[in-house]
Amino acid sequence: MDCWSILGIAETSDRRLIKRAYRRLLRQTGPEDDAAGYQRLREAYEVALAVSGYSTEPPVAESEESAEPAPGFDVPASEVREGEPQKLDESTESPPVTGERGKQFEQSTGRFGFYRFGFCNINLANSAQIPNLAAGYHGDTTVADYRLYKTMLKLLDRDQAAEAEAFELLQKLLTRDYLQGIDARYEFEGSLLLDITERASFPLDFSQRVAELFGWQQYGSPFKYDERYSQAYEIFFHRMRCGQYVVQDLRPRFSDWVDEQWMTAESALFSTFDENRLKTLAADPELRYRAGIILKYTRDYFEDNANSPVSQAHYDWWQQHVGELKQLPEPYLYASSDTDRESTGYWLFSVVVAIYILSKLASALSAGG
Amino acid sequence: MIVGIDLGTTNSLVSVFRDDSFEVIPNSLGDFLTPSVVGLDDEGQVLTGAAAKERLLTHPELTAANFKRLMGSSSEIKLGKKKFRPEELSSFILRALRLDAEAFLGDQVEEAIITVPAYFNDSQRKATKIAGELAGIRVARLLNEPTSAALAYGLHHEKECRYLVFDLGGGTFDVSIVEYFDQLVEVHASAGNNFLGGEDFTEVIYQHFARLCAQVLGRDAEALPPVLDKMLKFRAEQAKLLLSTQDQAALQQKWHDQVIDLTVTQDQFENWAGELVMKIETPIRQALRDSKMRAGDLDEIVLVGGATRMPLIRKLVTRLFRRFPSVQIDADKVVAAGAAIQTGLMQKHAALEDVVMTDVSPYTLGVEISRQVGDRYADGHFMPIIERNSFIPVSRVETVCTVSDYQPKIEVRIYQGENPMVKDNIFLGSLTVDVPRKKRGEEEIDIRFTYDINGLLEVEVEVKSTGKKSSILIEENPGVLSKEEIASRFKQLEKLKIHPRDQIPNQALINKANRLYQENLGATRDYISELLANFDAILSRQDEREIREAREQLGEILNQIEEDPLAQ
Repeated sequence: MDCWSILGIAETSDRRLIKRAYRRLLRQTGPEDDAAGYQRLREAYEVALAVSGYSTEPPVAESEESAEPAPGFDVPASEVREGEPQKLDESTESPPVTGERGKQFEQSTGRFGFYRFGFCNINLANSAQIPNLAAGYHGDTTVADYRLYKTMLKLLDRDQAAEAEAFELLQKLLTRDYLQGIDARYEFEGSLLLDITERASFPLDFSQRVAELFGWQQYGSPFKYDERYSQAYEIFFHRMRCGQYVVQDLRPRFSDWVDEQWMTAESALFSTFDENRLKTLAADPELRYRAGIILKYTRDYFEDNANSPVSQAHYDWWQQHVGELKQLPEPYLYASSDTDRESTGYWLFSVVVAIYILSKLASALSAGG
Repeated sequence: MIVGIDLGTTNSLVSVFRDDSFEVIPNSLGDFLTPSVVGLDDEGQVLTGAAAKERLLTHPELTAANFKRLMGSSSEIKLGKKKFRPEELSSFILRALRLDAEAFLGDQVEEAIITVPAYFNDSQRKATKIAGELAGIRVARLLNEPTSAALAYGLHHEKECRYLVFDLGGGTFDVSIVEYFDQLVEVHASAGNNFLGGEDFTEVIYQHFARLCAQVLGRDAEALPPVLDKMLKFRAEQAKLLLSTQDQAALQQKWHDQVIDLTVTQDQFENWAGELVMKIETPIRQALRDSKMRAGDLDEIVLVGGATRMPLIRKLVTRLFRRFPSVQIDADKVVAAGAAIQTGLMQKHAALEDVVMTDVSPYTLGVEISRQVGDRYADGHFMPIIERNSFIPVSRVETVCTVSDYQPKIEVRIYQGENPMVKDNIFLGSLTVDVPRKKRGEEEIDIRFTYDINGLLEVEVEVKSTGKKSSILIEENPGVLSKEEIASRFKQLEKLKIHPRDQIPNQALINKANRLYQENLGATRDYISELLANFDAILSRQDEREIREAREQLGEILNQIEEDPLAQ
C-alpha cells in the first residue's frame, strides 16, 4: 500500500491537504490506542510530506503573515519572493547567489562569503521583532565587518602563522549583535564553512579551532538537512581529518620543515578532483615525489576508502597517468630533483658505485702520475 | 482515581482533571509546590516536603534533596544509619502527594501519570516507574515534561501555531519543538541536557560566597566548616531568587562574632553563568535542526520551569530568538497542568474529545555490531535501530548475522547515543541468544526494537533458522532494580513510619524555627526559643482552633525574622 492510499487522498503536493488527512485518520488510529496502526499512518504521512516536495510550498503557519523584504544588502526585488519566507530546505533549490547583484558581487570581489551570509539573511529581519537589535546589521558596522571578514579570508590564504590572527578577527565578528540570533549565526557559520572549503590550501589550525568553537562535531552535522552546506561540511571534515593526520604523522616523518611544495601537493590532493592541478603535480619531480608519498601513505592508512581524505578520483588518475603507488621511501629529509627514490638501497648502491669510481679514478690518476 | 504528578528536582506537584478542567492540588500546608526533599525526623519517621526542607540546614545528615539527579543510577543516599536509593526517596514524595490528593479529592488514588524530562534515558525512566510502584501507585504513563507543558499550552490557542518549549527545571533542561494544528499537539523534536538546571546556577553563586567567606575567615574555600557551608548554599539560593527581581542581592552571613557581607550583582552573576548559558544553546540548535525549522519559523517561545524566571535566561532567549518569550501559564504549574490534561485524554474525557497528542523519542537506540574492514572485523561499532526524534510508539527491525565460523551464540548489546562507536554511548543492557553452529554469515537474527509510548524500550530477538524468540525489558543494568528487589524494598519501606500528614504544618514550622535559631545569634536566639516553648505548650493542649491560630501567628513572626534578622 502506498502512502496516498493509507492517507486516503490522491497524490498531492499540498502540504495542508496531507496534514488534514493525517489529522482526520489520527482520530481513529491514535498513538494511545493502536500502536501498529499509528506507525503505519505516521510513516505514510512522513513519506507523503517528503515526496510532496513540501519545501516548495509556503509554510502553513506563516501563510497569513506577509514577509516584508528588508533593506539589508540592497538585494534586487526579484530575489526576494514576497509572502514567502525563506526556509531552510527551500533555499536548497535556489543557490544562495543567483541574481544579478550576486554575480556582480562575485565577479568584483572573487569572494562573496559575507555577502552570501548577508543575502541568505535578508529575511531574518522579519523574525527580528526587536528592531534595535537587528538595526546594527544594516548599519555601517556591516560594511566594516564585511571588510574585516575579507581580511580574515586573506589571512587564511597567507600562511599558517596568520591563521591565529584570522581566528581573532572571527571572534571579534562573533561578538556583533546581529550575529547573536540562532538563524543569523547558522547562516554565518554555513557561509564561513563554504569559504573555508573553497580556500586553495586548507587552513588547518583555523579550521580545528572553528569546528571546536561552533561545536560542529558535537551532535553530528548541524547542516544535515541543508543542501547548501551539507556537502561543504563533509569536505571540511574530510580535509580536516586528513590535515590533522598529515601534520601529526606524515610531515614530520618526511621533512623537518614544511616547504612550499608540500603545501602545494597537499592542497591539490585534499581538494576536490581537478585534473589540471594533478598535471602540475605530475610534471614537477619535486611535487611528484611528495604527492606520491601522500597518496601512498593515505591509502595505506585509510584502508577503508570511504574515510580517506583523498578522493578515489585522485588515486585513479595518478595510477593511470603516473603509475602504481610504490613502496613508501624510507624517511629522509633532503629532497633533490632526482627522479626515482624507491629505497635507501638505491642510495647505498650509488654511494658504493661513486666510491668505486672515485677509487678507480684515483688509482688511474696515481698510475698515470 | 487518576492524578497527574510533576516529580521535579526541586519541587513536585500533583494535579487532577475534573469538571472539564485541570486543577493543581494544594498540600497540607496549602501550597501547590511540595519541595522534593526527604528526611528522617528525630524519631526515625520519614518527613517530606517543606518540613524536611527546613531540616536541610539543621540536620543535613538526615535530609536529602536533589535526588532526582541520581535516578537511574545505582548510588545510595545515606540518611542517618539507613541507606536509600533515589527511587525510594522519590517514592516518599509520591506517597505524600498521593495522600494530599486523596485528602483533597476525598477518593482513593490508585493511578498516576508521572512526568519525566524528555531527555531522561531508559534507566532513568524505569527508575521513575519503580518509584511509583514503591509508593503504591500504578504508573499509567510516563509523560515527557516539555510535551506535557506543550499540551497545556497548545490547548490555550485558537489557531494553529508552532512553538518551542524551553523547559529549564531545577536539575534538567529540555527543549521541544511543537506544532499545534486542529486540536493536534505534535512534537517534532526534543533535545536536552540531564545535568543542567537551576541548581547549577545556584552552585555558581555558592562558589562565589564560599570564596568570599574563605577570604574573610582566612581559610581554604574547600575546607569551610560544614554548617557554614550548608548555610552558604541556602544563602546562594536566596540570592538567586532575589536576583530574579532585583539587580543586586545584598545578603549577610553571621559566623560566630563576624558578619560576612555577601553581595552579588546581576552582571557578576551573568558573568559566572556564561558557561552554563553556552550549554543551553546546543540542544536548541539540535532540536531546530532535527525538526528542519529555523528560529524564524517559530511563532512563540514558551518558558517552563522555575529557573526560567532568572532574567539572564530571558535575556538569552531574547538574544537567540530575537523576540521576547511568552509566559502565559505559571511556569511552575504548567507541567502538572499538562499531566492532568493527559489523564483526561486517557479517560477519553468529553471535553477533550478531539485532542490528540503525538510525541517523539529524543534518543537514538541501537546495538553494537562488528564492521568488516578489509578482511577482518572491527568490534565496537554502533548500529542505530531507532533514530533520534522518531515518533513514538514505534517498532523497527534490523537483521544481523554471525561473523565467525561455528559461532555458538550472538550477544546483542544495546546502547543509546549519537556516537558511531559504542564506547561513547550509554550501555542499556544485553541479551544473548544461541544460534546453530554454521559457517559465518549463514546464521541471521532479527533484532526488533519497540519503543513504547512511555519511552521505554523492549527488545525482541528472533533466530531466523529456528524461529526461536527471546525478549527482554532491559534488566541487566545496575541502575535499574529487578522485580525481586522491588518487592523486597517495597516490604522494607512498608515498615518505615511516615510522619503523620496532619502534623506536617506544625512540624514544618518547628523545623523552620530551629533553622532560624541556628542561623541567628544572641537576643534573636532567645526570642526564637521562647516562641518554640510557647508553641510546644499550645500543641500539648491539643485544641485544634488554638493550634491553628498559634500556627498562623508563629508563621508570621518567623517570616519577619527571616526577612530581617538584625532588626530583632
